[in-house]
Amino acid sequence: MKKEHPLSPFYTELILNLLFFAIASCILVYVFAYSQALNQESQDQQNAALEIQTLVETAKATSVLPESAYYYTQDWQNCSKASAVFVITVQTETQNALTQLTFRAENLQTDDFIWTMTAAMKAGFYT
Amino acid sequence: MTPLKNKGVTPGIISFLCILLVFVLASLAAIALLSAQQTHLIVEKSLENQQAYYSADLKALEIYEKVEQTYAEGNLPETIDNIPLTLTEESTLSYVIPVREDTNLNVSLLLENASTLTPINWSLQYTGNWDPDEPFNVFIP
Repeated sequence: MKKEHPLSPFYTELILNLLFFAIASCILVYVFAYSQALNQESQDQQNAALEIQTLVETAKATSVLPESAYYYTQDWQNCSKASAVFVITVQTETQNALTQLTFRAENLQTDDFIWTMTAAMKAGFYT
Repeated sequence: MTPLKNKGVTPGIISFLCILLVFVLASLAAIALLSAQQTHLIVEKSLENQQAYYSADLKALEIYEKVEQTYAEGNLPETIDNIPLTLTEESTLSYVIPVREDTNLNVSLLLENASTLTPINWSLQYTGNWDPDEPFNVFIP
């Protein structure tokens, strides 16, 4: 009497497929996660640049220097320091009537740098 | 235990379904990755443009201030920081700050009296080539 092999071809195929699917899933999950992280980074950079541009143009239009720091929530809404996720710090350097403004956006939770930009304003120039 | 092949499952169908599923998921992952990379490139380009504009604006303001100082002393230099200044007959002083390869920041200042400079133009100008790669006639009379 022929003795049947304990691992039939069907189960061999099933195990090999599960192994293949597990490996493929690991790679695909990594790719999806990387894409999501890249999208989030792009979105944060874009929002930071928009907020910085708003601060620059407001300072130019009003001839009032911006504050030293601005705090934002996850959705880039203004908030207090305690509940902030993002911060835009402003360094000012005044020489004669020309003020150089250096903006730096950072993620407070991860300490990741997002974007920095330098602009200038001249008191009374835009009014 | 009765093998599944005896219950109507064709050998190889699981492999086929598994490969199909992985192929579909891999396609979706590739689309997500390409889309994210394209978005990232566009955002980076946009941020570079913003930085280039504000750097040029800063340079233009620095030159404006130097012109203001020298003009108050009764002088008008021909160049400041290697940027040539052009004086026209209409008492207008102009200078051009390069922003990018194909964009300039044009500044024109009206010399009103001994110490007053009024900016009359502070605008970006595209200097790139408008010629399309493949021209075609849109109107033939």
